[in-house]
Amino acid sequence: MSDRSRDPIRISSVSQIVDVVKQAAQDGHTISVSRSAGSVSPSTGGDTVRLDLSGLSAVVDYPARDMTITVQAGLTVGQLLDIAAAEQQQLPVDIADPGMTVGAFVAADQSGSRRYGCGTLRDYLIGMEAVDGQGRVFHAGGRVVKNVAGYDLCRLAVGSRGRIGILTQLTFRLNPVPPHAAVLAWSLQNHQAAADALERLNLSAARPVILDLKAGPDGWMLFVGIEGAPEVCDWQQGRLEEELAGTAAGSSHPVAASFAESVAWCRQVLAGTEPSESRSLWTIRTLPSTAAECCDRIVSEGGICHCHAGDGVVRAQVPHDINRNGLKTELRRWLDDHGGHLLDAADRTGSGRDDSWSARVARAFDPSGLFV
Amino acid sequence: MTDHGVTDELADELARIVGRERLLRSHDELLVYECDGYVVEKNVPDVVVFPSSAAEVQAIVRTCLKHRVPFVPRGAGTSLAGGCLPVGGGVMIALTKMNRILEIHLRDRYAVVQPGVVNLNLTRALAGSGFHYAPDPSSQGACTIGGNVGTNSGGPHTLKYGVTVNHILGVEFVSPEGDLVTFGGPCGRGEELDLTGLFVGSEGTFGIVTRIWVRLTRNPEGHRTMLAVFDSIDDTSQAISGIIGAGIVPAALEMMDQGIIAALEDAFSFGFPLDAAAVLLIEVDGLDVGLDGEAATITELCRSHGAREVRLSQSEEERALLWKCRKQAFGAIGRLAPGYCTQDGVVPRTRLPEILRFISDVGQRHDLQIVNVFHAGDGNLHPILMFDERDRDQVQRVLTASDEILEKCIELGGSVTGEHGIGVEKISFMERLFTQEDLAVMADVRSVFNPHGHCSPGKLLPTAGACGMEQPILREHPGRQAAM
Repeated sequence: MSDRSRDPIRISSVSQIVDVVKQAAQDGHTISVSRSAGSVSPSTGGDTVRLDLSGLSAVVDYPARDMTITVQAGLTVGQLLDIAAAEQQQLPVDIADPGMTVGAFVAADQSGSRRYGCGTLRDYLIGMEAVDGQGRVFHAGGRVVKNVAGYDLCRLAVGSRGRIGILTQLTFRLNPVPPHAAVLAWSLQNHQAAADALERLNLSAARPVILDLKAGPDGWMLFVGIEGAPEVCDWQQGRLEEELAGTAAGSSHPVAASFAESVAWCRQVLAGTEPSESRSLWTIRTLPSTAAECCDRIVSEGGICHCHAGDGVVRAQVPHDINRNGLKTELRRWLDDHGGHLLDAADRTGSGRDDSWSARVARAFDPSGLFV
Repeated sequence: MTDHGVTDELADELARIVGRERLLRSHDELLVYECDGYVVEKNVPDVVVFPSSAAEVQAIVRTCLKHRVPFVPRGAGTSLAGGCLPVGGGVMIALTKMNRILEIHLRDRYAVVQPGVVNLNLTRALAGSGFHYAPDPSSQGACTIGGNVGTNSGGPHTLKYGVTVNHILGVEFVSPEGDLVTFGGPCGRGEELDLTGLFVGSEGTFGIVTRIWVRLTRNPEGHRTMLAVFDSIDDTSQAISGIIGAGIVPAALEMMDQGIIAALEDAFSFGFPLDAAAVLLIEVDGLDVGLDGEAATITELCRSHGAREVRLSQSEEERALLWKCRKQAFGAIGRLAPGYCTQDGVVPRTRLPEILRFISDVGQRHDLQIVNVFHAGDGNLHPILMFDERDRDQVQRVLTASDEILEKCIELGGSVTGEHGIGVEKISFMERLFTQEDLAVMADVRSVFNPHGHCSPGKLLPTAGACGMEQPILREHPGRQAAM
């Protein structure tokens, strides 16, 4: 058995992927795709063929006045954002590493603070092309913003982690860049103050696009992001100050004062909560009404949370030197009672026959389990 | 016993599940269920049942399976592509009795509803709460949320707020094998694939939906609703392109041409200019503080593209009437012709001038009256082709003209359906839109859910998907089915 992890195949065409897939199926190998342009994907063990899609990086079509863009999957997200920015447009989904390929971005379904007001990739991916585990090149959706012809395989692609195939081409709808944006921060005393603030903001006169909490040994912070014309942002800031009077410790301070700064702040949040050698990242999805309490449970055990509170998504950094298994068990029990689930990449085993609907659908694309 | 295996024994078993009063079997009663809003193709089901719970739906599906009889779900029957047409007859499972709003959670911004809840009733139930259910198909006063899930319905405000799939958090359904399955929920999905997203728009081929978790959306603080009047179709479509190209995303951007304006004015006396070639209904919403500026920008853009007048709605009553006109436009068509066929093509928004010229040309070539009322901001066309279904030649010309229009949409980089679905109407276009490999992959996905093809056979995909049950649509009513 040979480990091919140090020798990724640089892909330059879709037909080459088809050949690789068919050959791998014949040889009994598995396939993995690099997440970033030119990078080598982590070893998965066994005899894995590694693909580098950075050669598939063309912009296929960008009719800017239609506000859609079609790109090959090996283009980096940073390149895509730069191209859109030149037309005052954006894909308003946050990413930690702009060097990640667009295909990997979609497969990972990464999102960040702006998901509260702007949604996630499932709201922007409108067309796709991929190669499945049988070497079939398949398409779904198209290049128009509204299209219900055929099954919506684009939704399956978002967050698929490669299970339905190798993404080769993607079409997104884009949004205009807002004239102005800002992120404001408030210090809060404790999780109850955070819960009160979030409850008020659920009916805020403003329309935040970011509603985040940060909680850790340094205390609790509330972050609210706003977008729009400058006068609209000013008005929203005024209303937010009024609405949070009494729950927040004093007035806000800005952490981002422009659209570019706001995007950079969102990126920093994601990058700052990535797993490391000393801490794990758990992603918890719970109800917005219980997000603050969920954070409190983690913080009280020594963790740090950045929570997209408007959506109930908690990014929990858990140090390796605490009883992680005990905390995880206790949290899962709590989530069973309150609604939600905890995801830890370390729990992914990939072994054994999975008869879930998700696995059954994945097998329609990859019957021999080629993609890892 | 009918050709489809619906025996007295099966009917009795179904009656024991739902009760005799919630089962229809006489031909006169079944006629109501022979088609949806796509009246060109019709077929009566053998039996219609009205379950009131998921358990009853499960029992019905299992009974159909035992008897190897096809079944099809139906909401209010407002779909426009034959999505709930009982191809091959069989059992129709009408979900209109499952019409309860089960839970509303404002703090967590979601509600749980049964599939037969009428779309507008959910927003009415939310009145005064500061929230609403965003997808608003023109038929929202009648269509059900279960039906909306089946076709991934849109509506005028999807330009800003998205289509149905963007607002569905989870679904519970009875699989074609009779299992009760849940995808998603209020906290979304975990590591699994986005099966909720896949289910939405599957046109009943994956199972019978019995419960839906929907996202609730904050109401905008204010609106500015405008009516821009144009003397030429070209100017109108250029203005649409200009607004979108300028990076403005209105809440709604709808176009109505002269033909439909006349019918609407006759029906509602709004004060539409009858000499206008077309009007644009444009709405921006959001925080009041920014709306006047956005409205002014749009007004200026319309004027720069030839609008002779841009009226700003002066009151909530005037706005409501304007929207009533728009949403009941299809109803007003009855004043123009005894029958009509609505198409649902989509083109890139910048290609609107070209496709509208083409539609006009098609109408002239086939000697058909075609009027347009559509979601211009999305590039989602609804050319309405009028006919008298007693005239066989006229119906044939309508079908040919429809085919040409949709073919042109594909040629321009678009699609044959933006929100109505494929149903039975556009099934022949699937092989033009997609490759054989695309269709094979989709058929494989369908087989995961619907391995025997009993559930909604003959829909969405051109491949059979049923065990010899996909019979030609019956043509027992030549007077009403001239084209058949």
